[in-house]
Amino acid sequence: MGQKIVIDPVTRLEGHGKITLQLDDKGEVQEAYFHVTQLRGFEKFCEGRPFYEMPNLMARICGICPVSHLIASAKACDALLAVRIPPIARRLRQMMNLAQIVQSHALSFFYLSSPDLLLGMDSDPAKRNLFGVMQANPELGRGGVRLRQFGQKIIELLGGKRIHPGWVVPGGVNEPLSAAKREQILKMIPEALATTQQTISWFKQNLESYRREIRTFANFPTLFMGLVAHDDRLGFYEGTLRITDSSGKIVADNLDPAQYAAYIGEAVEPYSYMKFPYYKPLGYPDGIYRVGPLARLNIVNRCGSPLADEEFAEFRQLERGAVLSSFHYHYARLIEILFAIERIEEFLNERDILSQHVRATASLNELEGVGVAEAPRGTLIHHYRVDEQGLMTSANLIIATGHNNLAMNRGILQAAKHFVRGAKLQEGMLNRVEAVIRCFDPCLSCSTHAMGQMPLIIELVAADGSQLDQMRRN
Amino acid sequence: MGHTLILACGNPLRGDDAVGWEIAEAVQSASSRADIDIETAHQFAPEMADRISQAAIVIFIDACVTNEPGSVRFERVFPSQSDPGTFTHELNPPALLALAEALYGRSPTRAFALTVGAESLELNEGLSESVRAAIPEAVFTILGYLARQASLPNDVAAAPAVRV
Repeated sequence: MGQKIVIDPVTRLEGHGKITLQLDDKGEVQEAYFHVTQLRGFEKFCEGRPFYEMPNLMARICGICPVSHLIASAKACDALLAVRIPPIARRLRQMMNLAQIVQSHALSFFYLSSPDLLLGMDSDPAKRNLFGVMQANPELGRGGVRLRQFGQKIIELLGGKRIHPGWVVPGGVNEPLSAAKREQILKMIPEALATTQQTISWFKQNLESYRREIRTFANFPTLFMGLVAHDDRLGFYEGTLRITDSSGKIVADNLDPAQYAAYIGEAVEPYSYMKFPYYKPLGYPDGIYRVGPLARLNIVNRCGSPLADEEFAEFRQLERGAVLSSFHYHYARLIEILFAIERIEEFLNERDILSQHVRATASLNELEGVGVAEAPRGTLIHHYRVDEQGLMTSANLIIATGHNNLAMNRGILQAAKHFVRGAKLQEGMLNRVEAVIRCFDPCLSCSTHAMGQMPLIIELVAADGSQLDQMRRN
Repeated sequence: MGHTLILACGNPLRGDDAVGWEIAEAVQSASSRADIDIETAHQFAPEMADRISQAAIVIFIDACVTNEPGSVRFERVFPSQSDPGTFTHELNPPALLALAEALYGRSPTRAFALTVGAESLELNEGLSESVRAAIPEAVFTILGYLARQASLPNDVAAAPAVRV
């Protein structure tokens, strides 16, 4: 008789998720499903609203990465206005997006994943938190808090507040950068760089101890997708989309992000509110691809800043083609933090960065607009249609976490097959299954929008629906 | 006596959850003291530990679902790591104080939580009547306490709190 193990909800994620592991008659894991049990209504309830409200409205999707939504939404609105925004406005938006990358990646690495990485997957769950990290490695814990603070402070200085800043507007930004703020940010750079370099060094020294996880955490061939800037650097704000395969070969390049529907399909499955995007030419589910830090480092030949490029060269030595193990999302995340800090410094030292011309104005000129940016978790697409009065008639959002949905499901199956044995539940093995998902740093609030508490309930259920075992941690 | 940090937490789009922010604004309007820093936030986050560690007194303000709607409670809070929860990016005040100690080697001499019982946390803007009526009492409680502290000799005001 087949049995099911249910992990509900999964902890240390942004939002609610549930995992079901289907066992066969021998007690071996046969199938795995990652259910996203929240429902997002943003696409529906923005209908009828004026398009210029969209950036602020869409930023409310998430409290962790509102800046990404703000930027993708503003870019979609720029397209509706058919304006070219002033170059310094573009720079300032880029800077805020990079600050967001730093703070969000710091949250993911230091707050959510470092307890597993430092204390071990089998350590006492009561101590597997930031306090446990503080006790075991105070420097690492302190660095994480300071780094997140760094990203948040830049967002606050640019946008007036740390969460949901309304500074990015259709046509540009609504206030230039002051000399005093530039100096304030520049002063914070050396500490942020040092913290990141120390953390990368610590992580690399410990890579050997995660061998099993590297081998089994969503480690399989897929496509990779992300924005590449026109100068072939990491493109967090602009550029065209590139898709590469597991050998590192470019499958499609210079794809116009506005034409995403021509090459990205969205499938649905009955067990999840989150859609399953796929690369259309390969069909569903063979068109599985990954986005986010790992994908971004797999599709480029360089990051585009000196320190990050040194780390990038080492990172790409991990495998001959693309780096396939999703465990290395952590590694890639740290390199991206380094890149983001270096780029912020570079922008701040540009001659015209204090320019007062930061906004273009125009009336509605197009009835359809697409805005694409790289969010911390991957490519974020906002697609709007409006009527002639500028009222929204439809919106389609493809959220970074959604792109990874197929890979997360397959990754859970791979890890569960390796770590879960029989009907007896053990905390460590289930933590590993959860940790696979944490590699992707999914933001379920973004991909569906909901909020709430996140205790962990694990149920072992027989095929007839009767409960065989249950574990719970709060 | 060092400065006071007031941290108000809440979501102004969730009905009475906005009460912390409103109290913080009312304290700011009612007091001209330069030694009070006020910060509003959606959550009490680990990044606040830095500012907390530098303050002599910290007052956390939040809505509360276990108090009677509109009732005001002002209670001493002590550092504790015992229940950080399934920790993501928010912490309760005792854990935040403990984090300040762990990260920076000190936490404030005195810390308090001022909570107001919430009637409704549904998705809407604006406070319910009972909760709005509690704001003057909350402001009076905070400013009254700070005025008494300010009138104490410095060595008494700076004496560490004793857990009872």
